[in-house]
Amino acid sequence: MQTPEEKTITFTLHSQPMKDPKARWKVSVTFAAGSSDASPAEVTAVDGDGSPVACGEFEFAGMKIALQNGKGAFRCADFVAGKHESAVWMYRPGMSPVPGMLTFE
Amino acid sequence: MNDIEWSRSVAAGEDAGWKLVWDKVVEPESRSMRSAELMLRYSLTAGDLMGMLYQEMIARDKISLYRGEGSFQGWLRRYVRGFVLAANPNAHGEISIENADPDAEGASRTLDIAVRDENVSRNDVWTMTHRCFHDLWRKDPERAYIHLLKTRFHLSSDEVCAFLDVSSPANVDQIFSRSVKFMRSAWVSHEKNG
Repeated sequence: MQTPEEKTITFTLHSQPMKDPKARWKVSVTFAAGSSDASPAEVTAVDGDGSPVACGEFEFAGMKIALQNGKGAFRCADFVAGKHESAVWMYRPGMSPVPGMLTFE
Repeated sequence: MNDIEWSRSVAAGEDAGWKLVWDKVVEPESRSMRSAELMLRYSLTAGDLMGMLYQEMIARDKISLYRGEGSFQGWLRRYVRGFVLAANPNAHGEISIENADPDAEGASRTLDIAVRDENVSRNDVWTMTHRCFHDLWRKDPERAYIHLLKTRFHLSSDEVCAFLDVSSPANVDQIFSRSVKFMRSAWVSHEKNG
């Protein structure tokens, strides 16, 4: 796995629309320029009000990524290993899991 | 899990049970010909239906009405269809007066009806793009990643090959070509079927 030397790639995922803004979420997954297998990719998660997801787990590309204060991370190689997995879920204590998807953004 | 186990998992608010509800009930119903068109008309989403079902089953304890007779999937699906039909604002005989003009009575006037709104057209195109992309994602996430990397990030086939560990740039081109065909076909299908 190797990302372009001069480009940062950021995927945006968001939840299915939910009536309660607190139940909605939006996640950015950023691969820094020049990343390789062992490099960390950064996850940033906010809810529908724009507040960081304080605590939770984000399921994406076959991984369950721990979130703390709106941030998480994973190895780039692990993303490639799970590139065929379509399940995207946000798990937060005291809330039902909320599914989502990759967006064309 | 069997229907009884599934219903108990749903009653307990467990992730596994509710994930199955999404996969087997809400998402398929929201894509069915019967409901998809109505949902579009009433601005109802699959996420809305999921929220309504949770409210009904857990907050109103309707889950306790399921006695194991008949399929749990079918039982839940009847609720979801009911939500879609109930979303019709005229379902109870209400008359919309939104467009009534109190000064128009008895007077003749020419109505200029806009036949095209550019903002609406742009939004429709964007919404349809997202919808087709969602279909592509569900078909094969790797195709969706390749489509995104080529069209939004303008990566070369060599760069996509290195990013996603695809076997060769030629294979990237082949997958990208298939993703474009799929998006076009999905667009036509949605325009035809809603």
